[in-house]
Amino acid sequence: MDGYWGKILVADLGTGRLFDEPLNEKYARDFLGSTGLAARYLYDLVDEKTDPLGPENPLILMPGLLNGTSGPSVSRWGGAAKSPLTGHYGDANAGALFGAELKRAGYDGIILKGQSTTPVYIYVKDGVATLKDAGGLWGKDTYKTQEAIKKECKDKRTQIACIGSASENLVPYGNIMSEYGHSLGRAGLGCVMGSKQVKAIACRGRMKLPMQDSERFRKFARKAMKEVKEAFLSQWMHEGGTASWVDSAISYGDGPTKYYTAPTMAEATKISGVTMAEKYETGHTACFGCPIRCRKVLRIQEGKYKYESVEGPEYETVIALGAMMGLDLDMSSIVYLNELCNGYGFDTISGGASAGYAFYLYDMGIISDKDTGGLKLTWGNVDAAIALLDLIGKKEGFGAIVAEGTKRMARRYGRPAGEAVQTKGLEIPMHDPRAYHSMGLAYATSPRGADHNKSDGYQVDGGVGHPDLGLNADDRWGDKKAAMVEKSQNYRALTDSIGICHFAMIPFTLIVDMINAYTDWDTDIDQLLKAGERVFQLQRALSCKLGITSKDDVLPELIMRPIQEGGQEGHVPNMEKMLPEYYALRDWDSATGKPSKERLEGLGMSEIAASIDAK
Amino acid sequence: MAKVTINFIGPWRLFLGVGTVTIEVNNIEEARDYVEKTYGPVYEKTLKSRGIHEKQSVWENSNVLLNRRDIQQLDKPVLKDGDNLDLLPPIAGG
Repeated sequence: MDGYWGKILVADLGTGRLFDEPLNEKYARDFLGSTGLAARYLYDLVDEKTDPLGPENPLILMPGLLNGTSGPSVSRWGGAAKSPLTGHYGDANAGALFGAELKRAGYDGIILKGQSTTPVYIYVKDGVATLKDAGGLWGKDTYKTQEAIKKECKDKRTQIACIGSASENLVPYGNIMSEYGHSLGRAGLGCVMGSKQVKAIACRGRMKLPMQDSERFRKFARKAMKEVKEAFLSQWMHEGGTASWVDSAISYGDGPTKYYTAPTMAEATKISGVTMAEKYETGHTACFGCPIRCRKVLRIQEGKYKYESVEGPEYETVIALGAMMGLDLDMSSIVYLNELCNGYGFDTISGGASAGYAFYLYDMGIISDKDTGGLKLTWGNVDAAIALLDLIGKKEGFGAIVAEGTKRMARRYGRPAGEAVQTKGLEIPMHDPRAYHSMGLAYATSPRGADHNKSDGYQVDGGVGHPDLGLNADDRWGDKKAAMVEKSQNYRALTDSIGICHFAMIPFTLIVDMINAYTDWDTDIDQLLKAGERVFQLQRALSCKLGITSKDDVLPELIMRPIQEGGQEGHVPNMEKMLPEYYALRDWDSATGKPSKERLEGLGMSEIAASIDAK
Repeated sequence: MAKVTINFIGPWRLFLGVGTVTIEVNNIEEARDYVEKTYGPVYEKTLKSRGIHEKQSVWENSNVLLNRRDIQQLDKPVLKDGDNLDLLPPIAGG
């Protein structure tokens, strides 16, 4: 089948055997790649009894369908496993260069099974995979790990996905890092990798992709490249990067401050993408084949921590490691905090939110210096925040408690479950649902738990819609959001599976054209949108298989408390209205939360319907 | 006439080279005309330098908030001294 190599690399870590398994072509056709295809493979391999940190939990990493091609901004790759943080379906995706390199190294994906008894890493080069000793790498941070492997391979262009000591220490939200600051950030996929004692996967590929019609593909890719280059959004993202949203977040009340209890702090502008551009930027970096080049390279010569050249943090990180704990940071400190988390290799969203919750508990008098080991977690205490994040990475002292995530923290301290701002065990990202009501619905219904990237709610109502899909800006505090969230979730499930970046405004017809030229398919817009819905409903069915029900589709109580001051103006999402409408559109059972048999069968998933006993 | 402050939020500051201006106008339409007349050419020039020749409006490419309320959601908003108009780019962070 064109577009795929037809093989998956399986690493059986218990025996140390690496072997090729034929790609399931039906799965590939139906679920495309990245998180879509990974979820379909995962579905067959886990159930409610699977221990997320046991040998039976696989870690599946897959390139997006168009990774490695000359299409613009199609670098996104993804992974899936049963999450050690949430205990059910977990996935994550990232950009940079790894997905393209994996594809060009001759594989449609990698499945890690079992557990190694000693640290190892997997080296894949041009269709050949080998298992290597990683004893000397264990304990190294994610930057030094990558440098060491590149040196050992004698090839600087080797692309590496690796874990740091957070995942070695089994921090449940340990992530997988690649390049400088790109991560499969969420749901603890790095922790699963750590449980298998796999320090890294290194890829180098120079193979010609299995493309059906290269000339036709190039023609469409060139057109798409022009569209992306000239798009309004591209210009803005290049100039400001994601972190430039900080300034808008202050106006809209979108950036959670002091653990969701205060208006977005205006001081955050000091560490926004605009300030980075004005004072510190020396250049940009880009993901594979991306003309937008939204990532910033900074030079920081003032403040406590100096950097000659360092990648700037993204929006989520700037808020999670700053305003969330009420920190009034300078650029030097936010970069240091980001580098600390990236070096240890843990998710800045869950890490920052969990640390923020610790500050909140301290402020409420629920915990004291006795619990924190002497850390004075008063809002705004930068030194305490640095010390706490350091302890999380090491999983030591009070850090070991905060490393468990907010849901377990609430349980430990006998707090109401709704005080932990998470859904289904995954901390809510830095777009406050009180600023954009659609995000409340998106967080409540995302298969893996709170996920800002599985819906475009804040983007659509913020003004970047998809008119060709009928997704246009509307009142951000309105409650007629069910259809928009459903459509945008399907669309993002699709683009994630293809590997397209959210910021690449490629006309849908050109996406279709590129896929048809790459593969031997004759697909169209309707079929692809259906594939997006199929992926989303599959991920939902997998969540249900792993124990999620309609009772889990809720927003935590703390985030339903109105904040009158600032950009939220006292609004809270009307979940009672939105959720039933959404359930009706999705055809989910109001008690079990399962997708209906009819809907699953209509999407060609009768085996999934039977497996979860859908009605 | 009302003395109002216009805040150019986020990357607008980078594109237009201005963060805040205070002007005297009678209504929102006059504020919009001022922005287009004064900063439209600056934006056009910046875009041209990037190879984009399509004419773009600053105001139309903004979400405009009056004292943090979206003007689209306000019924015939009236300006008064000390009001703030925020021009936010319609982009969203990751």
